[in-house]
Amino acid sequence: MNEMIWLIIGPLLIAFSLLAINLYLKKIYNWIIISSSILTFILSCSLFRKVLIKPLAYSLGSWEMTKGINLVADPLAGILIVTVALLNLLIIIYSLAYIEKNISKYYTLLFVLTAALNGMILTGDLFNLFVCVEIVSIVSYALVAFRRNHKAYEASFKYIIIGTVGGFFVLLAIILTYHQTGTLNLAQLVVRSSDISKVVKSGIISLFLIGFGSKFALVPLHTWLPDAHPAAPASISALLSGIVIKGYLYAWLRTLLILSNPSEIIASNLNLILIYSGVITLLVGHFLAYQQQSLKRLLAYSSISQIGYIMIGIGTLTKQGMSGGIFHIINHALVKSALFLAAGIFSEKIKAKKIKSLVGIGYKTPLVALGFTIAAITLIGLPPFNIFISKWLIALAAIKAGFIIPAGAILLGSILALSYYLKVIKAIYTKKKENYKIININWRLKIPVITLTSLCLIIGLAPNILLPKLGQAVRYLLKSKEYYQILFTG
Amino acid sequence: MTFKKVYSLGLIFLLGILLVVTFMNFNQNNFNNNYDLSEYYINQGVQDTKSINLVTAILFDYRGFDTLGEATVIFIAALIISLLTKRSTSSLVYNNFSPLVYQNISFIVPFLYIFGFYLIFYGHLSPGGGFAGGVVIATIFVLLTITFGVRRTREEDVLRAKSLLENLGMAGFVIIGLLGMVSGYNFLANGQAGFYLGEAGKLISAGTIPWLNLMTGIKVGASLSIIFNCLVREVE
Repeated sequence: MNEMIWLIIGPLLIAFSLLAINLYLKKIYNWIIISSSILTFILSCSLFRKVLIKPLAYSLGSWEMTKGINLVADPLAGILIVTVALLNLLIIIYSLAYIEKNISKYYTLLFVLTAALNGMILTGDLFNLFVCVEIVSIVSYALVAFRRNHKAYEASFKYIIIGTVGGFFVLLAIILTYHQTGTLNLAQLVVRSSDISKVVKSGIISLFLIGFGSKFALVPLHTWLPDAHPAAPASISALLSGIVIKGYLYAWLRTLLILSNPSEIIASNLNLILIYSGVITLLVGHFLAYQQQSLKRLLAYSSISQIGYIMIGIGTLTKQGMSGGIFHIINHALVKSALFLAAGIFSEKIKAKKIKSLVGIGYKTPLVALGFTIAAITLIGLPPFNIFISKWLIALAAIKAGFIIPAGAILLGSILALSYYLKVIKAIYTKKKENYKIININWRLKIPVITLTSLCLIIGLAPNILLPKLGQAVRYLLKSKEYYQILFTG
Repeated sequence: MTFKKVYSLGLIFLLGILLVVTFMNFNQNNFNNNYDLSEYYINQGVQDTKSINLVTAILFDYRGFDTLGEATVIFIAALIISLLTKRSTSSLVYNNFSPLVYQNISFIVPFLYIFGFYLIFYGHLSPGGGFAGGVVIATIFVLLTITFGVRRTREEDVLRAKSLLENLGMAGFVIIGLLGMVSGYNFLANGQAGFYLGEAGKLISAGTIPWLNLMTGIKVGASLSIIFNCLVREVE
């Protein structure tokens, strides 16, 4: 049984049969959705276990590795696949109680999104990567407009314009890469990228940076995100902030380190661009988040700033910084989804969208508010939780590599985050009346929030579950020769 | 306002000049290139896949997985448009044409069907294929809708039937791909899995390629006519 291909075509098949199931087997509709996402999660865990022992390759159509399209799974891909599957499962549980209109189309889009994200992470082919990136983008545009009100349409339109232009940049870079090397196979590119002349290579790399950067909201290409993420339904905002932008980040990171190796990047000073764009992204995100009145907009700007941390971690190009960055990707996916899902409960059940109107929520929905508070404290980066560890790793790596200002910016960013998240927490636990009536909330809405926050605590207390595996994951990024050897042994 | 326009125009020109300057000497750099992959496709494609049309061979055999992704893009596009266009407040445009139009359209529709399915079934032998054939089939529905209109009461049923057909096409593509796995090889395996490739140039040849073409054709035809049906409604 090969997990890699089933992780892509399984969700696709479910997506294509949902309409028929909705028409003829309505009774078991929910069961099919839940069980297929559980199955996806189990498959992803089993893939992760296998990949830790030995990276896998799969040739579609049984062609030779150089002739067709391949799927490649290394530990990094495995770890991201598990994150995608876990979040997908939790968000589907949440959506069962949350989404009321256009249910069939919603789940179809969600399953296609999962399949395409898995494809994006697992693919070993540059053009296939582009196809998956475009599917993910188009599904996200649709999901942003899902509420069908004016705000959602405007946000979605903005997202389409910037996302499509970004997509063209990526396509142009892929065309140039093929033109220069004659191959699209990522593993072959590891070897052949040395044929590309220096000018052309820097052109390709900057095209990739602009293209993918506009998709993962690198400042100043971030303008769509603060509109798009709040306009979507909460479950979708969680997914978009949690994994979709991380998926683009992964795709960019993979292509960058396949086209050029760390020493080349340092020689051409590209690492400075990465680190300082990270610093700018971080500061801009935090400062703008500080000014927000609406809770979901605040969370969206906070997502932008977290991209900055990850960029600093990646920009150091050391094992420690890189694994810190990837650890941050996973941690932020868990935390930000928890925050968005909790914010969705607040806005749907209690009609509290502004921070001001959150007053007293801590007494109306004690459990969810506690979850939100823990997640917010985690995101600030206070010690017993997981984000503290990843921020610490990134800051240490930055200092070791000689970047003092970025390390200071990480500290400054944490203080800024403290200031605006404390504002929210304070509102939640302000008592205006003596007795608040506890509002009954569906268990399907509560479970994902609680699971995600408790995962933050578990990973924070025992980071060694993940950290050694991250070290293993980074190896294939920093030494792209080893990625080559997955496909072509010897 | 005008300053802004001039400014952005200037910016675009500047970017264009930069692009030209950067890309100008690209052609000189690629003498040392090895296009072994495309040469392999040209030299070995027909033996490998028994499909005379090399574009189809690459599209549905060597890189069939990309095609699955591209078909999914159209599938999502149709889904999104039917999601975003509102159902309740709409009616179809209805025009009165001269009898000549009705007669002519009725006359050419069967030929269009034949042409569309010819493009699909001969996709591996001559220019065409699932995507092109699907578009031709979709134009039949477009023509019929424009000239004869659709009865409003039946519109929902028609749309549902088309959506089911579209889903069937997509699922069929994946299931044909799964046949390769059932026979012990990888997803979308064709010749490798020992399917009957036949003789290059015959109608029944090239293994699963014609079937994949058929599924894509059904899917594209249904998708495009769904898109048309959804967009043609006039909001009152």
